[in-house]
Amino acid sequence: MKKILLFMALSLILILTSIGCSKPKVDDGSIELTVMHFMTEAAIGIDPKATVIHKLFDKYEKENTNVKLNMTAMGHDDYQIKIQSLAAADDLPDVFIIKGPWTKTFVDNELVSDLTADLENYEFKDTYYDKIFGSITMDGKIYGTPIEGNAYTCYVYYNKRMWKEAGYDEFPKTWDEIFEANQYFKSKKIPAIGLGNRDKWPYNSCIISTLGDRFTGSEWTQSLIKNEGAKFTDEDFIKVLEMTKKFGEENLFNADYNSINNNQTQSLFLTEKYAATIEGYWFMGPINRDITNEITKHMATNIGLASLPSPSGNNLKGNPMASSGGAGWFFAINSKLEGKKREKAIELIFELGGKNLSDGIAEFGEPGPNKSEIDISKFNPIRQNYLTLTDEYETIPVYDVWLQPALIQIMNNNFQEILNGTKTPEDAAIDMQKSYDEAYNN
Amino acid sequence: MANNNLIPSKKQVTLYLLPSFVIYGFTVLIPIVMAIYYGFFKWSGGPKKEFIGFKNYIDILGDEIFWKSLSNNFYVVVFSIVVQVGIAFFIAVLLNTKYIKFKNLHRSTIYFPSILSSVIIGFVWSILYDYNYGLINFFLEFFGMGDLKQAWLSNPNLVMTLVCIAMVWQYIGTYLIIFLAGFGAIDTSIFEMAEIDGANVFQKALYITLPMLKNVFAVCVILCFSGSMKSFDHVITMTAGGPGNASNLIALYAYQSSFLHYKLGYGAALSVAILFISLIILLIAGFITKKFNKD
Repeated sequence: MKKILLFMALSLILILTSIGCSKPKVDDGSIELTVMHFMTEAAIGIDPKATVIHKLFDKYEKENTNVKLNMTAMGHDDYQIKIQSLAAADDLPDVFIIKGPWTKTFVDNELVSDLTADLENYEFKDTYYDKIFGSITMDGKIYGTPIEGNAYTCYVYYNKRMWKEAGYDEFPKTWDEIFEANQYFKSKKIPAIGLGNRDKWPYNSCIISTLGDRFTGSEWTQSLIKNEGAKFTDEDFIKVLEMTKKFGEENLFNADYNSINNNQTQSLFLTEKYAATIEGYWFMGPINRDITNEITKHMATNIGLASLPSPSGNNLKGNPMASSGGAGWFFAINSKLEGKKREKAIELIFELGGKNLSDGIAEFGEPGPNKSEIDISKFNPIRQNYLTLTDEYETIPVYDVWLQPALIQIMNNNFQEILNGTKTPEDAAIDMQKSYDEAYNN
Repeated sequence: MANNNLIPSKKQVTLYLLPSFVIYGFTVLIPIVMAIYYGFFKWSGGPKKEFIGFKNYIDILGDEIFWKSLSNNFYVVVFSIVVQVGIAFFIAVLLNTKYIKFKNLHRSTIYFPSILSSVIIGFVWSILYDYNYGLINFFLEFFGMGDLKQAWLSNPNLVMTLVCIAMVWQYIGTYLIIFLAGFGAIDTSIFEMAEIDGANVFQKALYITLPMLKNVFAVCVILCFSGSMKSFDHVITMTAGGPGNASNLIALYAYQSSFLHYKLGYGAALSVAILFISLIILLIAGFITKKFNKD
């Protein structure tokens, strides 16, 4: 019996080890780079970034005939899980996209290569916007090239006709007015603001990061990020949570805000089921696609963009023309790359996350990580509205780009519970602070 | 081989078993051992791990979300066992009476959801529960009960039950098939004799079928239990554990810890916790069934 067991164990080991060691080596001067990203071919033509990045891949392959790009693309959400698993298995591709909040984990585990010196040598380094490398910087070192500009996550997209009928020629600037208008919309059985918070991040990314700043001011947020004393239980932040509670109590959102996702909200807004919705810059893609569509083409002149309303009086401590934003996604390279292979990978990621990308997406009216000329007049009114507003915006941090992932999940759950009325703002603040202390002071 | 009897030699048995053993070892045993091992580390994903002993396991004991998820898991277990096995048995009894026509059609229709992916079931039911376009709200409106319309999956008090209904609906067919097979194994002469004695459908079910199917019931309960303890896909497609943590389950929480919170060691410890809790309960269940069978 013992022999049988030994035999089984040995064959198991043999099989397992043979799986791991079969990497073919080619040595004819050609280089193969494995690349993983979420710019799927389905997004070409809808998402300017994906469209341009695919073009840049082609261009790069044409210019570097000795480099073969072995690419894998998948959906945005799948990608996040995939790259995490590969990181855990220490089996990352050569070139991949990483998210700002992952920087600490990836750097601590020595998975990504330091690009500070390479950036110094990049010919267009001076064209990058200020602070664009913010969330990819650790201890003064830079680990990725941004694939988006100061991507703002908070725009109010509103239905001009509906708000005009409610008596507002433009979108209200204060929450008091919004709650007043909400009475009118309730009588019409139209949700004043559409929200799709099933996946829990939209309320955090698109609403509360900016709403929070209006109440607390940016200094508080900075102090929270740097762990310099700000607490969730501070009076100003409690006010933010109380406002959240009020949103729930006043039925400001659609009744099913916790069971639909933001893509559903987008469609419902475009088919005039909501008077407004609060979304990030990424909603511009679907809008552009749908205003050429037979059913929704009348929306081409009916959508307005505005900054998030502010609290009135003394409660306003932040800039009413600020929005949460900043580059959140970056191309990075594997720390294991060396020599010629690393050189080629560096060339590639500056192609994908630099001036060429910015110039490419500027054509679509989308600001990139580098300063590029955008001729506003050639775009449709919605895009013009978007670009002017973007130009006026001051950038403030998005909570879920800057805070630790474990804390963000706790925050998101608490926001859902406050909106739902199952938790009080005070209890939620205590819970969030507890999780903050675990993440930062441990 | 000198010894030429019908029983294969130990070597042959080993050889025959080897392929399945290797596959099982590779996909089940090794991951379990690895999960137990990873549970002892503070690990954010990557080559660096910090050994922290039993800290993850101790943290689990004080983790509110874990307890909330565990109680949700138990809710699923109880709901599934009572409703799923109950309804499946009831339908099986009905299908065995002479009053039902088109038995094959019924059987195939009821079994049909079982062959679909749970993700599809999740989406189908999300659409049924949908606030704007859902069938339930549509009928409420249609019958003039518009006041009862609500965003079903956003209601923290109802959400677990609603998710369970989708799960139960999917798997009734599976248990129905098991019961029908069990019915087939009962000697028909027993029923005939009971009929001669004047027993009605209800009496036959209670006094003949039920006792004769004791073992089939035990199998169903155990299958139902293990299936419910690891349920994940329905919830992630329908509610993602929300609102808040109202419909979170341990498997989902382990996934969230690993891939959303980047606490892979903690996630591994949570999966080990599911394993141990399930094992303990199965042992108790096994003990009870044994006792029950002796009586």
